[in-house]
Amino acid sequence: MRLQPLLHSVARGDPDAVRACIERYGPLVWSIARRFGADAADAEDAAQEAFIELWKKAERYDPARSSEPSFVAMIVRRRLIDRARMRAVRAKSEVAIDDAELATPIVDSPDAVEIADEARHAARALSELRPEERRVLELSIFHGLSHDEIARAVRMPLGTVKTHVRKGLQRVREALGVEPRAPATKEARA
Amino acid sequence: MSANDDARTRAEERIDALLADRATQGLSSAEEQALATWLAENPDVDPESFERAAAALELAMSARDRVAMPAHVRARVLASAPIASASKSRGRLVLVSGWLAAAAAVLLALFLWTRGASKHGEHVDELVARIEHARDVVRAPWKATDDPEGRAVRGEVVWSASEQRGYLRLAGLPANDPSARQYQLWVFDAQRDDRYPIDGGVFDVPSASGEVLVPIDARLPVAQAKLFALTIERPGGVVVSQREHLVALASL
Repeated sequence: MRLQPLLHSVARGDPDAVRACIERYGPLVWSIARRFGADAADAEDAAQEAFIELWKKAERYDPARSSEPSFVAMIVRRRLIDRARMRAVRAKSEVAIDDAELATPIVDSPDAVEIADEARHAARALSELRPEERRVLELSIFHGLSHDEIARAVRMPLGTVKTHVRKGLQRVREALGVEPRAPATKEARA
Repeated sequence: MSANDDARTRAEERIDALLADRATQGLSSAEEQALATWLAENPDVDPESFERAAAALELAMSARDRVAMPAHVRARVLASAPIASASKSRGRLVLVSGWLAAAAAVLLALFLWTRGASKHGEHVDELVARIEHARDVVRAPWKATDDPEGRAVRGEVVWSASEQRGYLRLAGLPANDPSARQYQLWVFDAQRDDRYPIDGGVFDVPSASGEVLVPIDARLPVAQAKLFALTIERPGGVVVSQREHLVALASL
């Protein structure tokens, strides 16, 4: 089921669309903010900054390039990664190294109806990666560890970590059907 | 493979490495500059392809991690949203960047409404008796605003900070059709930012005559209640009121 997009209405300042956007994407933004925030208060600031960034970029959403949830996740992650770098704050490093703690694909989740199609493809691609590649991606994407931190946590050379991240994302990119080369009418980065 | 092909392959690998880094941990200023240079030299590269892959993974991995954003955070977010301000109307508080207290000191209490019983399960009569015996019970009379729908309001707010509970005694408010609109209570806490008042919940006035007695249960800790305000909103209430129908105020 694909929900009606909101961002273009948000960009026009539609109050109902703005409220609906907060209700729809609040849990996603809050999940990311909690992981990138140093503490509860910082997470609140991060969530507000993330939404402010989303308000600014709402008009750039292109449904031909991604689903709306994926666009929101991209904008929010970008903002909070930049914020973390500027503040030299790292996401909580209490990570589960145990393989049993790794996120399992959620293709059959009862909440699947609300998950963007991209998430399904990404989950499948993730499940097809080698365990060490999957672990590195989870530590990076979900737990927000830097590549240095991952290398120390799993006792892996930094270069290997970076290779796993890059190849893992390439696999996901392929699964999504995202071309590494943009079409001739490529727009600037949102 | 020719030397040119080798060079192109290395350039693509370098761009991919930077894009993957940017999508997962960000880049230094020097790296951003290097990437910008390479992207300018390779305009057919999609600069967002890795970020979109990372976003898809985020959606997949975080699906079970999501919980509702706290109400006060929602209020902050909404207060910073690009919503065109509503036109002025009678009864509205004058606001800057969201909420401002009215000229008179006002107090808001936070509460949850149930029909005759608080969320603690006791009947409203029992709640009244409990509050009346609280060591720090305070009272604030309702005052009408310019809104014609609140011109006949009377009654009081009774509140105990130590109990974090209280009740409203209300009369003179028009009965509402819950399918069309509801009354909503707002709280200003002296120790909180006035721009982010606490949603006090919605309630109905079933009859235009007689007194309404409604239990108050604080949803969030109220450190120092200073204002109670009633507005009329759409069914279910709103996250942030446009204050088009501010019908009553009570100041502690």
